[in-house]
Amino acid sequence: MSIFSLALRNLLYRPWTTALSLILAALGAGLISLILLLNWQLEQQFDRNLAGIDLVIGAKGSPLQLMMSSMYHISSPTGNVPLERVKPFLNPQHPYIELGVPLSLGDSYQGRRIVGTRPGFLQLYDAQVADGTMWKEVMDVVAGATAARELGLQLGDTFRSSHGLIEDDDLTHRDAPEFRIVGILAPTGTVADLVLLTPTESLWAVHDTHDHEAGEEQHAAEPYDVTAPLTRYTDESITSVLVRFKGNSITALNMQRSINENTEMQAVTPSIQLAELYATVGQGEAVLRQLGYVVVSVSILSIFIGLYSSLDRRRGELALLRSLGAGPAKLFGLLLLEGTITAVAGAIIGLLVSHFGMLLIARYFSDAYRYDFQALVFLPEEGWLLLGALVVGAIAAAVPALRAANTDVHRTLSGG
Amino acid sequence: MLVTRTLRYRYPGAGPEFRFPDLAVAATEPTLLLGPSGSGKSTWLHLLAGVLTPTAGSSVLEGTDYAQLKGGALDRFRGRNIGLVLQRPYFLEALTVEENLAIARRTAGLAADRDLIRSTLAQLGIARYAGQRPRRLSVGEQQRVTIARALVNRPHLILADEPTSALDNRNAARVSALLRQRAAELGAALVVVTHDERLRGDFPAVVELQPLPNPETS
Repeated sequence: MSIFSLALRNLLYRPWTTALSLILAALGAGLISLILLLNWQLEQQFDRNLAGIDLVIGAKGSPLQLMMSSMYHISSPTGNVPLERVKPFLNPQHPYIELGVPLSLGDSYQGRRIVGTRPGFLQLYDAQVADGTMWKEVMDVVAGATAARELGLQLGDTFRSSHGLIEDDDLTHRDAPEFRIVGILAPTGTVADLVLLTPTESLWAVHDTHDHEAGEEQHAAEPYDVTAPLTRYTDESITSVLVRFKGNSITALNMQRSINENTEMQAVTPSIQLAELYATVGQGEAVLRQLGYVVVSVSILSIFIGLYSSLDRRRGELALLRSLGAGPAKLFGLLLLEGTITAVAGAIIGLLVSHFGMLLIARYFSDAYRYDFQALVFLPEEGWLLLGALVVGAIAAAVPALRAANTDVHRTLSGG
Repeated sequence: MLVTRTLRYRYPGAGPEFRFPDLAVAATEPTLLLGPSGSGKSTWLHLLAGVLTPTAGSSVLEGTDYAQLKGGALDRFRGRNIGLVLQRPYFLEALTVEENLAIARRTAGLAADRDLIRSTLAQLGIARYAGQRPRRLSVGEQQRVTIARALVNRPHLILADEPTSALDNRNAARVSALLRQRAAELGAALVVVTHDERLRGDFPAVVELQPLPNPETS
C-alpha cells in the first residue's frame, strides 16, 4: 500500500468524478494530438512529393487543381495542352531547365491513375525499377510499388484502362489495346508508389481506337517510338509538364509570369500554392487547436473541482493519515498524484483514441485518394503532450494538495 | 513506560492554559483518564499522541522525550511508537480492512507484514472482514478495526479516545478487556481517555480531570 496505489484506489473509489476528469483530459489531449498528427501527415505527404518541382505547366483553370492533379494525383486535371506549345520545356538542351517531365492524365485502372510520361518521371521521384525492366514499347506499364501490391499486379499481367479517374466498368476502353506490366518500382514513399506509369504514347494509342477512326492510317505512317524524345510528335496533346530548374527561383518566377501572361497555358509554383493551401487549412486548424485548449482548461477545472470537493469528505481520512505518521508532504503528494494520474491517464487515452482516429482517417484517405497515411507514428510532440498533462495535473491539484497538507489533525480528530 | 512532567498547553491566540497532571504509566498499569466534556481531555490525549506539541513540559516514552520532537521526526515517532484508537471510526474508505492496516504500517515506515496483519485481525475476531470495506461493518466491528490498526505497528503506547462511548454495556466491557489484554501482550503502556464511568472499575489507575473554570475549548 504505497502512496501511489492509495492515490489510485482513491480515484477508483469515486469512479464518476474520475471518469469525467479522464474523459475531459482525453478529449483535450486527443484533439491536440489529432491536429498535430494530421498536420504532420499532410505536410509530410505534400512536402515529400514536392520532389524539387519548381513549376507545373498545364491548361488554364484553377492553379490549385492543376497542382493537385499533376503533382499529387488528387482531383481531375484542368484539361489538355497541345504538345506543340510545351515542347520548349521538354527540350533537354534548355538553358534553364534541368528536367521537364510530360504528363498525360485522365485514365485509370481500378481507381489507380495511369500516368503517361517519360523516364524523367522516375528521375524526379528517385524511383528505381525493382522488378522487371523499364518500358520499351507502347502499352508497357511500370507500376508503383503500392499500386502493384494493392492491385495484385505481377510482371506480365495485362489490363484495360477505363476512362476517367473513378472505377466504373462502363467506362472501360473495351476495344483499346491492353496494358502490360513489364516492371514494378521499388517503394519511394512518394506519389510514384501510387500510380501506374506508361509511355505517353500508350494513352494516345488507347484513345486512337475510338477517338478518331482515321487515326490508324496516320500512325501507320508515323509509328510510336517510346524511346525517342516526345518532341518529335506534332499534333498530339498532353496534360501538363513538371519542370525542375537548374538555377535559382528568379528564373522560375519570370518564366511563370511570362507563361501566364503570354500563352493560353498556366504555370503554377508549387511552393507558393502549398503555402497558400497551408494558410487556408491553418485557419481551421487554429480554431480546432483553440477548442483543444478550451477543453484542456475545462479538464484542469474538473480535476481541481473533483479533488477540492473530495477534501471535505476526506478531512477525517487525511487527519488519520497524519496521526498514523504521514507528514504533510505525503498528503500533498497524495493529492498531487491523484491529479497527475488522472491527467496523464486521460492524455494517454486521448493519444490512443487520436491514433485510432488517425487509423480511420488513413483508411479513408487511402480509399478515396490512394494516399498512405501512417497512423502508428508517434511524434516527439506527443511526448511533450504527456509532459504537459503532468504539468496540467499538478497545476489542477496544487491548491487541494496544499489544503490537504495543512490539515489540522487535532481539530479534525477532536470533531472541531 | 510513559512519563509526563508538567505538561502545559495553550491554544494559539487567547484562551486558558491547560495544566495536566503528571503521569507515569507502566505496561502493567493501564490508566484511565476520566473527565467530563470541556475538561481538556481531547487536548491531553492529542498532547500524549504527539498530534499537538505542548507549550511546556515533557513526555517521555521509552527514553525519548517526544514533546521536543518536531515535523518529520515527530510524525515518524508517532507512527512507530503510538497506537491511536480514535473516537470516531475514521478509515481510508477506498481501502479494505486489511489494506487499512497495511497503510498504517507503511506510513510508519514499516513493511506491510501480511501475516502480522492477519494475526492481529484474528486476535480481535475480525479476520473474516479482512477483504471488506470498513464502512460496511457494524459500529462494533469498526471499533475493532480501529483497535487492530492501533496495534498493528506494535506500539509502546496505546491511546484510546472514548473507545466505548458508542457501545452498549456488553460491548463496552469487551472492548475494555480487549484493549487491556492486547496492551499487556505487547508490553505497551495503555491510556484510555473517556467520560464513560463504566470503565472505572476496569483500570488500576484512574486520573480524574476537573472541568476548567472557563471551558471554551474541549
